[in-house]
Amino acid sequence: MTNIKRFLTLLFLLFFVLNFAFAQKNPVLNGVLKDALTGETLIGASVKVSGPVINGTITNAYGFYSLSLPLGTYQVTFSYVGYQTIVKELELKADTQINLDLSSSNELAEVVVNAVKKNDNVSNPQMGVQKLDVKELRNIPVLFGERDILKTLQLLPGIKSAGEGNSGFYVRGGSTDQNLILLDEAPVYNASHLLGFFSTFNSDAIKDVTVYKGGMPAQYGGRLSSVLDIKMNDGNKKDYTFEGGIGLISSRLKIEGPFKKDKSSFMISGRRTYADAFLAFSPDSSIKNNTLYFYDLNAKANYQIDDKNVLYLSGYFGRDKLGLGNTFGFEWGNATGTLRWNHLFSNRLFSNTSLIYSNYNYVIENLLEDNNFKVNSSIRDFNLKQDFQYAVNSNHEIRFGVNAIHHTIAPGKLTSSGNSSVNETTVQNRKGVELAAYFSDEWKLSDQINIVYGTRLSTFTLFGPGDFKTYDADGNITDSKTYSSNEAVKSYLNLEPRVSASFQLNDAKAIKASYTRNTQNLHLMSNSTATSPTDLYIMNSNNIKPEIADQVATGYFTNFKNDTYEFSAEVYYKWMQNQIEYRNGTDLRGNQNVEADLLYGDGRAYGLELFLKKRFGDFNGWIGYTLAKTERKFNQINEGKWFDAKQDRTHDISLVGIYKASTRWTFSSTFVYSTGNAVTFPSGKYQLGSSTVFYYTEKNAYRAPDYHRLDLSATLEGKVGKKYQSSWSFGIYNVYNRKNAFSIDFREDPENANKTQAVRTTLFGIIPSVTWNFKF
Amino acid sequence: MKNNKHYILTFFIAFTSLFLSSCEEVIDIKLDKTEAVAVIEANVTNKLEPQIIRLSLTKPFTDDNSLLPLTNALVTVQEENGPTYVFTEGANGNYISIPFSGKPGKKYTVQVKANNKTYTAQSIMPQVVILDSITVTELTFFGDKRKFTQVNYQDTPNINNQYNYVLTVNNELRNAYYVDSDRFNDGNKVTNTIFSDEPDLKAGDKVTIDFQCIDLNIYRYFFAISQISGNGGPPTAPSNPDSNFDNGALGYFSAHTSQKVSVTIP
Repeated sequence: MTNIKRFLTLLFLLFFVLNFAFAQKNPVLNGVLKDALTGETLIGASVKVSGPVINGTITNAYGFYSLSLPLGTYQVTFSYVGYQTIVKELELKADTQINLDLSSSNELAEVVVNAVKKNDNVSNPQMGVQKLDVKELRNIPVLFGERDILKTLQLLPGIKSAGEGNSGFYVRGGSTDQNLILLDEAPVYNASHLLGFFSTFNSDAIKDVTVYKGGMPAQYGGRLSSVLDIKMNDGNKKDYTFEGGIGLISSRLKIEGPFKKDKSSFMISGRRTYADAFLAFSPDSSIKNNTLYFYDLNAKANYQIDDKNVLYLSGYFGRDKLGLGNTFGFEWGNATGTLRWNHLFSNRLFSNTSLIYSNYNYVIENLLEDNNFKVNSSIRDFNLKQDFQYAVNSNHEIRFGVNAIHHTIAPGKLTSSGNSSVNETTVQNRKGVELAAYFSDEWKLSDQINIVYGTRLSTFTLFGPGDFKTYDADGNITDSKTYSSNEAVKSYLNLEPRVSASFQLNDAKAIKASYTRNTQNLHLMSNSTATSPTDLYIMNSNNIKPEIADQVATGYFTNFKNDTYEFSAEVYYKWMQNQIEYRNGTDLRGNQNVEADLLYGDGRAYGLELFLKKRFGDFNGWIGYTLAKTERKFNQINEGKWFDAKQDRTHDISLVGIYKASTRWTFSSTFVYSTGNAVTFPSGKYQLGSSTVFYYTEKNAYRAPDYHRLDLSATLEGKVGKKYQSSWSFGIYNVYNRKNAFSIDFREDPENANKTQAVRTTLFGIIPSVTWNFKF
Repeated sequence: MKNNKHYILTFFIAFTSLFLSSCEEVIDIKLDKTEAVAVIEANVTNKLEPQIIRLSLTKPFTDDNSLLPLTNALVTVQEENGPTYVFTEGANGNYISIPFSGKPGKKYTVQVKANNKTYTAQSIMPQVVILDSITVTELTFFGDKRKFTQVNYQDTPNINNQYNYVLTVNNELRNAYYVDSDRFNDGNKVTNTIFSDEPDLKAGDKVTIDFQCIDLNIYRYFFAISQISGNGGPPTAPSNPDSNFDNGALGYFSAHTSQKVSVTIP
């Protein structure tokens, strides 16, 4: 705590020193950029000035920008991908505000010529970052025709699918729980529906998707591998619109509109699958009574109080339900809520205050008479964030802020009723508080060199009540102590320095480098080969230390052919500490002493990522290639030698092509190829009792077969000019019906018990899909 | 309890795959051949009978499933503060003692000398829990009515008990390990359904259950094996279960109680 205070004092001191040192009384140009048609704020839009100095910035998550500039006459260029560029002449004599509405280029006739270079990807020191164009999503083929941001992300280099049709992902050799997934700033603890075949993000409700694979800005913290920052639509401020779609397995509807034109608006978007609707037609009552569906609901409202204050309220609620007649029931889901207040203290100091709630829980019910039981498990957060963004002068823009999160994990509460043989038990709840403060400065050192440096100070404290044990390396209890409510059990403090720099070789070429340290205080426990909704989060403790990752990366970024093409090459090396594995035969369920079965070790990951994108034109798309290695080392596993992590894939290629054949038809195709996962296969067998047991040697020393797949899709837009717009999307998943391995199992031959065989399970063969979308 | 929970996940996966075009196919995979390793399957029960310890060697995956006996070994079992029993080699890797019964609460040490290596393991025989009865139940899954046997017993309160149900159908061993613990039903009157399949039990089948009280190491050993095969939930990454033998031997030594009860499926 004292450290936090000390850090905050230092932070404010630094802030005032900077303010004083750079207070040259330069005027400020600021404002908010919005979409002309919907009034949605534009995130990451570019503002460039040339005049006495050449400078630029991008709008923040709320569409706000601020630039401090010397007096003079400037040409100011406002641009955003897919929007018409606006250029303004400006004589800057005093503080000036320019709020602009940019028009989406496809709403205009085909006259948009981008005279201005859009090379932010080159000039910005940020590296390891990718933005998804949500509009582009509708043209990319996906499983069952369900547009899915997480699955589209997996087509980018360095981001790999966690399995067939799975929305879980691995970033630069990290595991799935090392991704910080934020929906309007609220952490989403389980981002998948239906065993991971669909993500929890309904793309109708999504405005902006940014993923950081490295060089994370200091305002983000808490996970090792990546930050996936997803922003919901604010709601149309100009008009009411209805939008929806009817697909093979789900339907969606979105309603948005102004409460008060240009002042306040709302958006509600819902989605539900109806695979189980078909069950009702079954004549068999035992099938009829089964349920299997998920739904989710996104809602947001905003209110612009005045020029200086805006309020946002947003929420997400999703649920998966599975029931087997009167024998079993299973449901799980996330709920998040975010209340935000944007405030302009001055035209150079922007503030955002967020109050965030996040909850994930699951319930399992066994309804069998003799041993009926019900298991409840949850993780719940209350989160307060304060962020400042301050345009000091034309060379410095600083960001600083604080964050406090209170976590409660209820690992499992087991209840029963009637004459069940099951005893009611509860695995003790765990409470923890994460406090963090950060500071960063984007420093334009010269026309060629941009540096962002900063640091994040994070603390984690585990609080009572409860019994807290300490274990030795063999899992024996060495100490046990009971703590009362709000008594601190264990604290950890970490300083996370971060720096990235870009060196501009010319307008369209840059070299960048970065170093980032990330720490993680929450860990997902999963000893299975697949993720399950029942996987539990666990906090740091006497035994579990914060996971730490240090990453260095460097890359070359260039745009060519008049910015039509974008190319980047990045290499990275990452060291990971305090990684978690499990002893053999560990039962993670309802286990009060689960920490006795955890093993701790190190990890390392390195790789090369190449990315070539054609950004404009009737034909566009990209090629991504990753060459990578990721390994782990645990004293108790594989004789203490390094072994390949399961997500290690040497080669990974993604090809995406989108072709606009006419004003109505768009065709697209994706192809993916990757080396098979590192897996453990038997190297022998032996007999125990009457069964054959397999003998394993080195961990993860074998390879699953290579994975590859081609998907196609076609979109037919309705005729333009009608009152409502509609479109058809047709898709084919796995066009050449490749039998990719979901799993490979070894078993006795069912026909000849004297033989053993390897069996490959394939989940998805060729799957066609069709969706009808409408908007009015 | 545990197995029911397993079962939920099985159904979860089965249910999901109903809607998917999943398929299974036998494939060829090139697997390494490694040096043969000793496998010891050692049991001492509380029944007055010749105790049997079976020694074998691992085989390549592509070979048949017959047992490769480990011959010319010296096998002894010593009871804590008691006698040492010398086992004599019989057919097919079986080493057999004179009739003796293990005593609950006693620690037993087994020693196997073979191929210039010595392997030892210890196991404490748990106290007896009486199996009261076996019953037969019928459950419906996806419209199929299926029969299962159930074990009924009174768990001993305030101590950790682990059980193994060995199922024999018409004198043919069906599964040698089906472990359970009292983690969630300590001290209760327990009715546990033994989910068995392939083939399903049918009227007239004679089912014998060897109801064993096993020690914690053995519970974990068998639990680890069933986890790998994904007995229910998502399978864990495979590895050799932790043996209580030293020196790299595979297998286990279990001093356990044994009570055999039979029922004919109605």
